[in-house]
Amino acid sequence: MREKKIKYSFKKKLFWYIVPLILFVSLTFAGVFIQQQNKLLKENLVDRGMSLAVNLARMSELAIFSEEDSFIEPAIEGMWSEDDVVYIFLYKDKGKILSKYTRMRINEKLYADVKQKIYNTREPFWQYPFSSSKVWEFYAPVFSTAEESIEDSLLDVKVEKRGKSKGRIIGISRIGISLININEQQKKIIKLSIRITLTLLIIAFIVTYLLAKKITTPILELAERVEILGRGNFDEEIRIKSSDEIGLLAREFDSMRLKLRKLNKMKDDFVSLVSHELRTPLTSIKGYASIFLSGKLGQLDEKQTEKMEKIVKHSKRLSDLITGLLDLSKMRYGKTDHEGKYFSLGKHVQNIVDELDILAKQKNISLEVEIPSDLPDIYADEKLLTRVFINLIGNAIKFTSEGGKVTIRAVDEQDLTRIYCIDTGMGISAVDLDKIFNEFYRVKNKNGMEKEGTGLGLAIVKHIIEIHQGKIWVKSEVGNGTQFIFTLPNKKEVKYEKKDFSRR
Amino acid sequence: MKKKILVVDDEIDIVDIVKIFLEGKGYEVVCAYNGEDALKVIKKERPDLIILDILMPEMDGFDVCRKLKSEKETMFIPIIFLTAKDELADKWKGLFMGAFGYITKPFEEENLLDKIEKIFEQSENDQNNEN
Repeated sequence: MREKKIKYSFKKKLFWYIVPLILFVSLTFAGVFIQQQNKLLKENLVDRGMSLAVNLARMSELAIFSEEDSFIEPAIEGMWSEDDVVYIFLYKDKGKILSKYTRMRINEKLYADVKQKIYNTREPFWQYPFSSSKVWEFYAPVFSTAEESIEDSLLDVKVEKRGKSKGRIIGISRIGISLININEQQKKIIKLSIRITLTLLIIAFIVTYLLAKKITTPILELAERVEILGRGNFDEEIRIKSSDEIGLLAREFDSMRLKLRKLNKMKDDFVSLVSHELRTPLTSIKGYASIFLSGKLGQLDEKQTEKMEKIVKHSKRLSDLITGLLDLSKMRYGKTDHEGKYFSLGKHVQNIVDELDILAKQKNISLEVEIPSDLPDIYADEKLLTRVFINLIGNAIKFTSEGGKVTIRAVDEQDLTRIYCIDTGMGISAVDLDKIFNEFYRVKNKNGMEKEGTGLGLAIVKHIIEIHQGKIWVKSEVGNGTQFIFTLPNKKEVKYEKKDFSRR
Repeated sequence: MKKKILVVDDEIDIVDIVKIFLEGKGYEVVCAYNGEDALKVIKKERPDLIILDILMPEMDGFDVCRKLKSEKETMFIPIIFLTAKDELADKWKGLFMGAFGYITKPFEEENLLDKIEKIFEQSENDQNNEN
């Protein structure tokens, strides 16, 4: 429940920080890895191709001399058995083919520029063939170690300078190697990289989750404790089994709780002292005024009676104000004694309405109760709820002019019961509407005169509804009556603060 | 015969007011201004009912009540608490201690008189039944 209050939880935040980071890092590493592996693979391929071509060239000297390809056949067969070797050509003088193995369509002619390059550099080399990019081909010159009897003219290229040691070039070996194997290996590497990345991500997920949980669990627990503290229960010790910063925070909170408890006790003592000190003289004022009114000290005339009644009335108001203030302060700090039980809302409201009917009849207002008989019993503190209804209905009667109507309606809405108190009174202006639940706020009438009352009634009502985990709000338009609407949760035992009899 | 009522309060004015009202209704009223005084007056005057404040210096109303309820002679004298302490917890405490009523200040005179009348009616009924 508490977690729902958090818009962006720590878990989510941590997740959005860590996972993209891990993703970025692992992707970068995977990219570099793949590139490195590609380079390595290609280098290996070049080395292999070169050595194949050079070896073939070395072994084919005799075969070219004798123009007998059977000499070289076993060697070529050996190379040919490697499945990525797609063609092997052995050229003799004038670029004629001595031996030919091929698995693909390829231009068999020895290109002039290849010949030129071999004769110029006298070194093996490799290149992409013109026809295909999936095959690399390797060339190597075949040298003769024999005397210079048969001249270079065998090959129809003029050579200006011949190498000193290796002898004449009598032929060229040409080997084509397919990239299939390399591609497959590349695929394997990419797959591997993806697998590693995914694994890392999953690990990051799990680690983030566990880490967040480890961090947030004590924080949430602490939050719960602090909330209990906030509701005014100062007796619940705040203790988190943690030796880290959160543990420290919890300990600090607990020392705060102890200080608050002390302050709260002082406040309670103060409030009770004040209430006693205010009430006692008030009792005397009211008492003596009543004695005058009762005529025990001689009959009063009309004017005297009127003024004396005012003294009684105002001391009554002052007394109500003290009571209201005390109630509100007790309720706010969870010190009210209340007891929940199931009861029928219909009967309850009817009883209250019966009592208030005299008041309504004086103003010719009709009081109507529209509560379905099959409404499920509600769970609440009967006395507190009585106060709510007396307050709301009393207000409705007070602010409704003669001949009006006050309706109490209840609707069952599965999770909650919605209760309406609707009057046909003068309505409340938008300015007042916002402040109506504020303490000491009293709606002024047209003359700017304040109406009677303490200005605490609705504040207390709101508190009572909130203690029951309900909500209250008001809809009104000037001249169009007022609707107070409140909700009470259904079939759910409201957890009240524990009763506190231990004071004093 | 006039019923005798003892009013105990450390506030002289309150005792005065209650006295005037009760005398107006034809009761005999005796007064005490602290707990110890009250106990002395009770022994001497044997009141039929006691109206007792709670918050008094030294010996408070609860102490007085406890003392009275623990002694045979005073055990059955009905007690009404009249106090500024308005907490439910205190009210229960008072009623558990055997008080007949618990009225918070500032009080309505009718309320107090009603309660007293009821108590006397009940005790008369009990006596009649016994006879």
